[in-house]
Amino acid sequence: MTIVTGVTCPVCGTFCDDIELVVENNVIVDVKNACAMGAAKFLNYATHRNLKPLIRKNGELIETSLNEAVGKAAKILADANYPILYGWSCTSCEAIRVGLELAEEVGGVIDNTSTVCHGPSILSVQDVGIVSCTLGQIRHRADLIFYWASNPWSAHPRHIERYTMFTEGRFQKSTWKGYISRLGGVLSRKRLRRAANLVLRRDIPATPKIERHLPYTMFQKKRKMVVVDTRKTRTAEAADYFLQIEPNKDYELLQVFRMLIQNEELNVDKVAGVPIELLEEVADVMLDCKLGVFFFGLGLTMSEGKHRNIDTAISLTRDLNQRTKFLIMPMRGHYNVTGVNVVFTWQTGYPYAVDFSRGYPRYNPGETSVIDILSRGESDAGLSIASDPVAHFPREAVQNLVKNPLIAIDPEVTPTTLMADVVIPSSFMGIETEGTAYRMDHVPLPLKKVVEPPKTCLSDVEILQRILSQVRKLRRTSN
Amino acid sequence: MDLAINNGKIVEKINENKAKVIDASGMIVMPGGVDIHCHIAGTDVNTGRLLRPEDHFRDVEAKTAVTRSGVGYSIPSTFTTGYRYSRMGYTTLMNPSMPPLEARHTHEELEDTPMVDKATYPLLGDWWFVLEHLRDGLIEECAAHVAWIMAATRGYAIKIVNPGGLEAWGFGSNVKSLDDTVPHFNITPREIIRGLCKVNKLLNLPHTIHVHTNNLGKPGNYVTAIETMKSGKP
Repeated sequence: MTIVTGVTCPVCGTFCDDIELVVENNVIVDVKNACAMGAAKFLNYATHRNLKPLIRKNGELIETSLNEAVGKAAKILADANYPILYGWSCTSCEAIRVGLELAEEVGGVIDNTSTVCHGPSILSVQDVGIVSCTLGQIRHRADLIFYWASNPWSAHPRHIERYTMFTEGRFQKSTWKGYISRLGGVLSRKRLRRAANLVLRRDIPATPKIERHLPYTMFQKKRKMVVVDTRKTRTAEAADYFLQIEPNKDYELLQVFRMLIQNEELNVDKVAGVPIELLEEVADVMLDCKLGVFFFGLGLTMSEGKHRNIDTAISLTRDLNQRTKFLIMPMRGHYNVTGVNVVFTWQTGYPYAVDFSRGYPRYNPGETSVIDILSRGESDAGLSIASDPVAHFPREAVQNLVKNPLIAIDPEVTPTTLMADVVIPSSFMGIETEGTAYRMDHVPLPLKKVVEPPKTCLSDVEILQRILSQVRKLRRTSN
Repeated sequence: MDLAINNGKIVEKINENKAKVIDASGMIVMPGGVDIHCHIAGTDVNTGRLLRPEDHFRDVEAKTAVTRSGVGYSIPSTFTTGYRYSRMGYTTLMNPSMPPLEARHTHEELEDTPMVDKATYPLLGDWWFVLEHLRDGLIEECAAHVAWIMAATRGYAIKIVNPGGLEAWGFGSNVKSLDDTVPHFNITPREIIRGLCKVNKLLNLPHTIHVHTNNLGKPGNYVTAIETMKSGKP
């Protein structure tokens, strides 16, 4: 039995680096420090996986040798006029670097999953810039945390504990004790009511919920958390202020905050369904903080307004910096989706949707992004790696994706691997293979190799290198 | 004129029958250029690349049989950076300013910058451990820590940017002169520079400290620059 410490967790953008694993006979048997998502991956990653390369013959996927699968994949890419190479967020930067070389070699389009998540955020950064920081700065200094249209309690479970409210920083105290006692209060009230019902044998109605929409008395000098969302999430329950807004009204609300912090009077009762008094109070909290931060999620990037929402959020951050210090950061989903933007940018100048069909990198989201290419039916082959486009793309795009030859490089059995023509199983990055990935705040961390991969599963890097050298051979002979 | 080169060194004579002859007529023969200060890699540089797609559109380099494709202009992509420096006659580039936390990123980019030799300097003028050690007068402990940082980040020299000012910027303020106290740390920019000078000497590093002074870019900052140079003298 060995205990491996300081393992990074290859699940979400929080990319925790304090995981401890107990390994016995090349199997992970126990996980410490990880959240439910992380623990589930470390303990069950090998449950549904392909061990052998597969190739489609007469409509059926049948087992084949690695050489044949690589050869077929290379032939598909070399023969194609306009292939797309998509995915990349759940693999290492080392693999992404080979992927870019492959895309350049075959003159294809390479795109990553930010095309369907924080792509609009990137467009906004190109429009209006960004003022950001590392998560350590937030942990140590921030006294006002906004989670706007994101739900870290469920999607980035350790974000609050490691970087914001429940962590002890150099200049900021943790607020977890307050949260626990509040939770204890709620539970004991429930228990009392139940006991009273049993004793008196009648139904005492639940005490009316404390109306937390106008917490005028809560003002304390401590870290504060504000949640803006369309529904009351677990994150919202832990917040000091929760603004439940009507769907697709984020843009309006952000603009109103921009006016309020400049002391503009608004002649309305409500904005986005929230009383103006509450908004005025939250605006005061923003101006009173020493260092505030907006964390925003897909609720902002993928609802009505898209990159216009982010433009406004960044502009609000900029306005606030006239009066105090404020920062803004997207809540990135996959553990290396930040890394894929970073690597694309240093090699090609562009963060996603890079088209190599003219021999040099070209970027025009809407034209060179995969969903648009697929919707127009322009590509004639596809490679999917470390992602699952068949499950997540719009139906029309998927139809065009599977109509043409499709290669899937993935450790798991996914809808994409089931629909592919060539399936090359890889080893699990960050469990069976080492590499580098970037946390949501652009901090690079090492992915560790904890157990040996099955002999039939190569790493993404090795698979891509083999395909690349095979493509080069094919192109040399055809020239 | 002929130049004889043996094992990478210019020598007086060489056996002309055995030597490989390079015809450089019409060209300039010069030692490889060393750019001692060029921001070519790392998180700051890459953010610049990200910010200006319109700058890349009008300056592209297509892939060839031996080179990778890329884009310019104000901040070229990594491959293009390497090729363009080579075309200009450079062989060695010094990339100042690498936040220690971003060392891995900087080196990944440098690895993708072909043809040239590279080195990079970790930013230490506002590193908390350095500030605390220097405040407490623990020069040797500070040197031990800096030595570890150099090894861990594969750094080449000590880089100091606006000493104390970056820490103050964490809460949106700044330091205005060499003798302002850094908020929360009870140390002045002068003490940071002096301290890291001593550390540099103790460690016998191959390069002096590299200082970007306080107030850089502000009108009248020559006063601070002169003061800073004086502060380095024992």
